[in-house]
Amino acid sequence: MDELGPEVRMVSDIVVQFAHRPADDAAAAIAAHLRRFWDPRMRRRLVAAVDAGADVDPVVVRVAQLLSSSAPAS
Amino acid sequence: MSLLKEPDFGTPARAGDAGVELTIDGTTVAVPPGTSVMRAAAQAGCEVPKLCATDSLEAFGSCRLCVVEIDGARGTPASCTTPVAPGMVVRTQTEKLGRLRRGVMELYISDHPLDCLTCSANGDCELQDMAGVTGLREVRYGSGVDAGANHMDLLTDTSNPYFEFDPAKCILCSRCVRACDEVQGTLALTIEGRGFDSKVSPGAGGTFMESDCVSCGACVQACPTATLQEKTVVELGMPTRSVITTCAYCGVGCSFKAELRGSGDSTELVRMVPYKDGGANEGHSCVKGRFAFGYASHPDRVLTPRVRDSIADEWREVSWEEAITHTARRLRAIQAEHGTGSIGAITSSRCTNEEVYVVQKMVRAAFGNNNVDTCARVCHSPTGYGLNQTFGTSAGTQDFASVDDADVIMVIGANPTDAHPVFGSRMKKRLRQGARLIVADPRSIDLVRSPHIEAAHHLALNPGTNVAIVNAMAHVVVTEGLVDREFVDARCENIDEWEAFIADPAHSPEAVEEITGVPAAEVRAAARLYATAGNAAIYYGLGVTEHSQGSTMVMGMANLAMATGNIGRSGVGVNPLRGQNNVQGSCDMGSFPHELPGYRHVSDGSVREVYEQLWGTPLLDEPGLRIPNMFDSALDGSFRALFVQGEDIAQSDPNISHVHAALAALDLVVVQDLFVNETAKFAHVLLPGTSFLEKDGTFTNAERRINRVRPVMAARTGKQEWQIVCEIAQAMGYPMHYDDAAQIMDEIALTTPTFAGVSFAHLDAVGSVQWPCTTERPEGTPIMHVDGFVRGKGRFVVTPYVPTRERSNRRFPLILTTGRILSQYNVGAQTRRTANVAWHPEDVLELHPHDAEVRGVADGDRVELASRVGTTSLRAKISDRMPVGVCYTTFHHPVSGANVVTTDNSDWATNCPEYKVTAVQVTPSTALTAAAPAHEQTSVGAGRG
Repeated sequence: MDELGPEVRMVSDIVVQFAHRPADDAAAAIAAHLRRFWDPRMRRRLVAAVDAGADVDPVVVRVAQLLSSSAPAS
Repeated sequence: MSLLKEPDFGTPARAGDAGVELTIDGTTVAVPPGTSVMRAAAQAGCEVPKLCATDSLEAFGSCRLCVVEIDGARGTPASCTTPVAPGMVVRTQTEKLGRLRRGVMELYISDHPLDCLTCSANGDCELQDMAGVTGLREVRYGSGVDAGANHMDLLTDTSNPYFEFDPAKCILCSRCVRACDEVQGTLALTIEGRGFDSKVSPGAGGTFMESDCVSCGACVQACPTATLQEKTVVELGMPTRSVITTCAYCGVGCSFKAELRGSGDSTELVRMVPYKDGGANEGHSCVKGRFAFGYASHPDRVLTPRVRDSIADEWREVSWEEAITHTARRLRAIQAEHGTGSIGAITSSRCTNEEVYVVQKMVRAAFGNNNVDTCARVCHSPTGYGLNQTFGTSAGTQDFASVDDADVIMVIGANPTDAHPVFGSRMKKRLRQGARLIVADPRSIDLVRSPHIEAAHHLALNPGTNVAIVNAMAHVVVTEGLVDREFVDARCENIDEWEAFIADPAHSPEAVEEITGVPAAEVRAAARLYATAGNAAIYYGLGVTEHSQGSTMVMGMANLAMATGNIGRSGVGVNPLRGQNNVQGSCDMGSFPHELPGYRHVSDGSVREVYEQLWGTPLLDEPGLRIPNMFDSALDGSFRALFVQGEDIAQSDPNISHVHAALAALDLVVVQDLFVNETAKFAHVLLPGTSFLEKDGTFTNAERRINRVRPVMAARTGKQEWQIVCEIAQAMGYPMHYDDAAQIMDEIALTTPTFAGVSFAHLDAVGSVQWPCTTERPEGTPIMHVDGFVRGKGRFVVTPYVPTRERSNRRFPLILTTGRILSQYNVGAQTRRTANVAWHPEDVLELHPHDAEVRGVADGDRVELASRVGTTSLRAKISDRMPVGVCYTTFHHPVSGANVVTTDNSDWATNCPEYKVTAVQVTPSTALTAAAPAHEQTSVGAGRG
């Protein structure tokens, strides 16, 4: 997984923590977490990795979609 | 200030109202029940002569010097062991009492050397004082060798590096023995023999260094003569003045009297004496705080700025002006080429609040980004996240004194007797009084079983299964009807979702027994004890936070405490034991990349506006890079320059090869430190720092106590560290100036609501305060969440157990966990430059006897320690403290390279590294293996063998 970059590894660690929640809820919570705690360049790298077709959990794909929107950290 | 000698009331204070009134030498005094006549007399201004009594110890009644006359009482009772009674009439000074006391003194002096003028305790000897007070003018039995049989030919024990023991001067008052028992709780000393042969003995008749003595110095402090004396006093003489300041080692934050000789450039620090009025330590200390201050004057100190173009070049000493101008110019040039966000800084938990505050200000205002992080990232960042999510603020809930009211103490992933020894002693005192103990730790730490202490339950869990254990305990609480409904209903939210989650049989102790390795019955019993035995308090350390589920575990503990109503009063709470002296403060001061001072997110426009107006510059509303992200970004080229304040990331951070590669990739590394540490080997600018003896500021300890750090001597570098940071900011074009450190605290108070009532003047007046300290609560807040949580209602958070990705297998069958020991501190930069190396000259690898035997490893053998990321070499120590399958080492010595083998795994929420779980293999080795990452493992034949 590390060959996909540290951001993919880190978000995958987060995804499993939210596995008890419905996928959309989890994705929203994770995207909010990343906006709150991740430097924008890390979020961009994650989105770029997903856009490049990285083999990741579907929740990560949804997170990347949410990050691509312009919602601010809260 | 002249030499400060606190009053000694002879016996400890008793709690309660001053409801007992009595008359002493014609003066009426009222004291709480249980107070001794001696203490009541002292409070009335009638000092009773004493030798075996001191108010840090319970009365002993052996010296017979404190006898008094009491109306209606037979004989002349000892005032130290006689409690007051209503209406009691006491006389402390009569002709008869004087005669008795002189008789006692004659006996003491008949077996004591009469070398007062050349004695190291001359002027600070209670025996000498009492000879004067009692009017001793002759010794009818003779003195010294003339008095017949005596003890004056006994040899001095100089084995301890910091103090000597001269039994010839001992008066057998037992104060040292009792200090070791009652204050320190080690019970290393005893009175050996009977009658005339009685003598103080460390252990079974050996030397101090051969005994269980932990060198806390309580015995030295308690000794009324020169029998136990600091070697510095013997060498330098008695100090003449005191400065009250704060220790710069662990997060207990002990107050000390720095006792000095001389002034100005000739100032000599003679000794550090723990301050009785210190709120955190109340007169106690450990070996580091009391004795290990020699690093401040070590010849390795860097005192002149250094610069070099490349890390392959030699250092060039330069003026402060050149160093600061060069640093500022390089930082701006890198930003011009690579962008505003290409530079950043790391603050230090060893530095003062004021020093940390100016670094984060420099980053946010002068650098124009939020790339500031602190070393708490790699220790207690999950505490910040977890307690903020559940309670609403990132801090422990109690003061240290709270443990005195605990009925059950649960210690999770902490080793207080080694890492927080002064609080550990206080905890042990409460345990000896009868509080029950639960220890959750893979190792059998000292608390599990030590003199007069035995854990009711030792949950020897497999490393990495904390969350499974705390969930299992909560499962028992919920399913066995032990929830405090009144508390939860009134004070908390989200209980329904959490209860439904935790009641799932998948979380039962039986279901997780195979995962945790802890028998289900033991977990159930521990949960019942925690929930039902009165006040239950949780104390935890890095064994909780330094896991891939560190934040989850912090929230799990908070859930458990809320569910049982163990929040908001003395004796309970969730208490992080902070590793370094100012971890709490460095976090408070806005060191995290997502938070401004006071834990307020950078996205909060109203908070940013406060600083934007005061600092006169717009601030970013997006979080910056955390330390591990800085390393990753250095390797991808988007992060190019790093200012490192007082941290040795090249030794302390995990997966060292990754860290070294990142540091080597940077265009500019600026290190501000006392020494040329491991990180400085990658630096282009080295800015000499100040030791705690030179700093002026404040530290905030683990109980949120803000203590003054007062300069004992002038800065040896010519500048305070905050001045250097301000001058760099100014050289970068951002105006930043303070006249003194007090002005910085004034700005902190002006902008941070929880510090609104704090100033140097206020701290000087009241001693210390625990934040929140506001104008409404100027005395601070010892216990938090009393009437309500900071966030309003305490929030239960669902805490699934997610195993770490780090797994043992056939190639790496053991799990390595890391920690600290008493005599050394963190990366050892300070303690390795003191005589503390006598106790721990190298890091060792502790192994269970079975794991050692199957590998053909004997105690003391050198072994190779290999993980998936690197290999190093250590000496093996066979220890039944370890469970089968788990090994342990410390990271105090760079040569052992413990962090060569630790991995990039980190806490999901905060990126706090998973130091506590690394799959490893241990094999015998006859050569010193250079600490090396996996891709360049090498062995060399030379070394320590």
